[in-house]
Order: sequence, then C-alpha cells, then structure tokens
Amino acid sequence: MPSTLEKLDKNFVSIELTTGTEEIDEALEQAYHRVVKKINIPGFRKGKVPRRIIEAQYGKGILYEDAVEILVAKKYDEAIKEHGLVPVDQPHFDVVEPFEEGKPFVIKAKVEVLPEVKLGEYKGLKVAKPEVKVTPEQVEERLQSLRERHSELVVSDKKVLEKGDFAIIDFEGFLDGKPFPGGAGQGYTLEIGSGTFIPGFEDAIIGMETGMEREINLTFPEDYHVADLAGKPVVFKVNLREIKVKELPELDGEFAKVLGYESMEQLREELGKRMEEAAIRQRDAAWEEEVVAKAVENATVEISDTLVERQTHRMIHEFEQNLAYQGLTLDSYLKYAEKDLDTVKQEFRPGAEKRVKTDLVIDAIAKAEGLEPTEEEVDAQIEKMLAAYPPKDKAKMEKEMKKPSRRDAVKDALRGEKAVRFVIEQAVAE
Amino acid sequence: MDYNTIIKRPLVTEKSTALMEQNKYCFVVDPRANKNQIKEAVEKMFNVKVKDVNTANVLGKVKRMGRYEGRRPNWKRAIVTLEPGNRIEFFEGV
Repeated sequence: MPSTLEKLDKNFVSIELTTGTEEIDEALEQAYHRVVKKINIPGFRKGKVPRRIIEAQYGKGILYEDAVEILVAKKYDEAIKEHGLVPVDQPHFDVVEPFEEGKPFVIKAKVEVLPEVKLGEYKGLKVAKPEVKVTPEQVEERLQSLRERHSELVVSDKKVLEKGDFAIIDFEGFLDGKPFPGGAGQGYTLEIGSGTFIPGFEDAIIGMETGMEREINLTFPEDYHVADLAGKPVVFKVNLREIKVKELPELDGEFAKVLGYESMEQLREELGKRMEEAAIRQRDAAWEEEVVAKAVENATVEISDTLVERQTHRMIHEFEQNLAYQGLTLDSYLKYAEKDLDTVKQEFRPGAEKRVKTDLVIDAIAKAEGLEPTEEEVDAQIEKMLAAYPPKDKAKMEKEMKKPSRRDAVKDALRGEKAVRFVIEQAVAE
Repeated sequence: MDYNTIIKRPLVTEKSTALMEQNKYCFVVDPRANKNQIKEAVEKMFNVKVKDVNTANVLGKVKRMGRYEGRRPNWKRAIVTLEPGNRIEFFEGV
C-alpha cells in the first residue's frame, strides 16, 4: 500500500505507512519463523513446533511484537525507496492505528533526510587569479636562509662571551644545595639569546671568559612545566669551556657548487625559477579552493544539525588522533588548554558546518551534471589504493574493499572529486 | 471402565502432529485398556467414527539418582485412525 509523505520543517519528513491485511499475515508468518527458533515445547525439537501449537500455548500475541518490527522495517524501507529519500538519522515511529489481525495497521515515521540543495551559479565562476612574481629581493632572502642552513659553528678565539655567540658549557643546578634531576649538562651548546634556557640564565653568563666558572642565582618561572621547580630559587654552577661563533658561507662559486650548481648566477636563476613554480602552484591551489568555496556559497542549503553534529564528532576524533601522534590524549589536552569538550566542539562547529555544506553542494552538482563515476573508474581507484599497501596486507585489504559499503565510499569520494574538477574546469580566471 | 479413565490425555508431539494429516490422532491411554475399549471411548467422547486403533506399550525408562534406581511409569500409546470425514478438534486448548 502506498505511503503518504509530508514535509516538516528543518529537513524532517513524516511518512504515513499503511499496511494491508495481507502484509500483516505475511509478517506474522515471518515472525513465527523467527520466534519458533526460541521456543521449547516438550514433544517437539527446537524450531519444529507448528505455529498452531505455539499460538494455542502462548496466545496469538506472542508473534505480534516481532511482526510489528518486521512490518515497520519493511514498510519504512519501501517508503524510503518510493520517495527517493536519503535519511541521515534513525527514524522515530508513532503508532496511528494499533496492530491487529485483519485490520490495516498504520504508523507514522518521522525522520530527518538529507537536506535539499538549491544550487546557485556554479558554472563559469569568475574568480580573480593574481599574477605571481618573484622579486630579486625574495631570491636574496632565500639565499640568506640557505646560508643559515649551511652555516658552521667554529671555535672562536674570542675571550669574552657575547650575545649571539654559542657557548659550550658545563652546568649543574642546585636546589636548596642539592642537585636536581635534569639540572646538569656537560659540553652543552647554548646559543646566547635563543631563550632555550630559563629566563635570566643566558643573560647571566654573558661576559664570561673561557675557562671561567661562575655561580648564578636564578628563580624558575612560576609557570615552569615541572611543578617541583616552578617558582623555586636555584643556584647554577657554570663552566664556560669555549666560545663558538656561527660562520656563514660566502655567496660565491664555491657555495653554489656545494648546493650542486655551476655558479652563483645559475643558482640565482634556478632558485628564482623554482620559487616561481612553487608560488604558482600555491596560487592555483588557493584559486581552486576559492572557486569551490564560491560555488558552495552560491547554493542554499538548510543545514542539518544532525549532520553537523556528526561532522564535529568526526573532526574531534581526527584531532584526537593527531594529538595521539604527539603522545597526548584528548583529556590531557583539554586540561592543558584549560578548555572543556563543549568549547572545543563550539570551536569546531563553524568548520564542520562548512564541510557539511560543501559536501552537500558538491554532491548536488555531481547529480545535476550526471557525474556518476563508472564501475571501471571505481575499480581503477580501488586498484590504486591497494597498490599503496605492502603485499602482505594486500589480500586482506582487497577483501575489505570488495564490501559494498567500502565500494560505495570510494564511489562517493570519486563523485565528489569529479564534481570539484568540473567546477574548477568551468571556472574563469580573472 | 469409564471413558475418562481410559483416555488420559492427547499426545502432542512432532510425530503426532504430522500424523494428524492422515486423520490419525494419538493419545496416552490406560495400559489396561484394549483396542476395542479405546475405540468405543474415542467414539463416545468426541462423537466421531473410528476406523482403526493401533496401540503400543511404552516402557518407562530406568533413571538413576546416584545409587538409587527408579523407573518412570509405563504407559500405553494409542494411534486412532478415524473414518474419512471425521475430525477431532481438541488440540486447540492443550
């Protein structure tokens, strides 16, 4: 029996599902097959009790619960297909006409569906593409940083330590006259002015002469990460072994050769070329991103809280994994950053909304343009993904990818990519 | 003997349920009753015409509880075939 669809606000729809008596009988029969497996009656093997006997023993009601479950699931599925709906959440059911044999059974399902996307302009979008130019100054800047990178520390014959020098020191710290863990080092290279050590340390050893020892009194900062030391006065015994200075290579032919070039001129030229290429790539990526963003902006979508919520969760999960790489857990991060989970959620929300909207719009564009990936394309993509795995895991992954759900995921991703490509190809640079 | 003491209860098992299709009904009956008595009892009780009666004595199993040995009671099974067109509607309220 057909179902009637009713649109509610905010992407919710309500569907009235009516079942005919025939369907009820069918469902009861199915329910019997389900129930019979669990019923034990003396004289019968498990699962062999005739329906008549069960009904006589337990009453007809025993089948109803399962029958309703079967019916509702079936009718709901049918209705979803009939109206071409894509639900994004679990449905909520309300009974209109109670279940009774020989009478139509009516229920109402309320469910949130994928938001409708009203596409705006997305073909031939005009987005400014700025000219890229690499100035000689930028090249020089890069050369400077290359010099820094190829600099060497050499022992200086200077006698007095100054700011900017590298001091080779032995040091030992004492708290209340006793050494504390992590407070000592031998032959440590410290750049004066780099702020590597606690404030005051580097300043206090400026002016020392090589071979000299000095005792310095310092107080650990209040917010020091080791709680035992924070805010405590300590004494450091420091011995200055020698002074080193950073020596930058001259910008001459030799420097060019070290980097693999014939001459300075060639180095400058190559560097400029490579920087320009990088800049162009960066600009093009930014431009493409802007094109897509504009297409998304032009479309109107009633954003779905459920989807955004889910996206937020996913992002927090990703974030948590990133933290795990740094050896942190979400809990410890929250404590450190003095935030609670809700504020983090709030922070992620705008990003999640944008992602959800982008996905929806891209999908709608793909649909509007008929950019459905072919089965061959999906196969090729799966092949590509499998190639990334070591041979030992390949068989397992191949089996995994054969699953329809995984295949669909690949297809969805491909469809999105195609739509993005389409929008970008259609766009006009200004 | 009284009909009600001859026929003790209907026998409802997978096998007996299957036999009903052949118009055969199974009962647990008094072991002392003979086929003629069973036939008469079924005809009177359910108001049907009986064509044939087959019986079997079922010996109770020997059961042990530790060192004590016991026996389940013996009983008699009767498979009653009805004349075509007759039916017994008793299984509903088993």
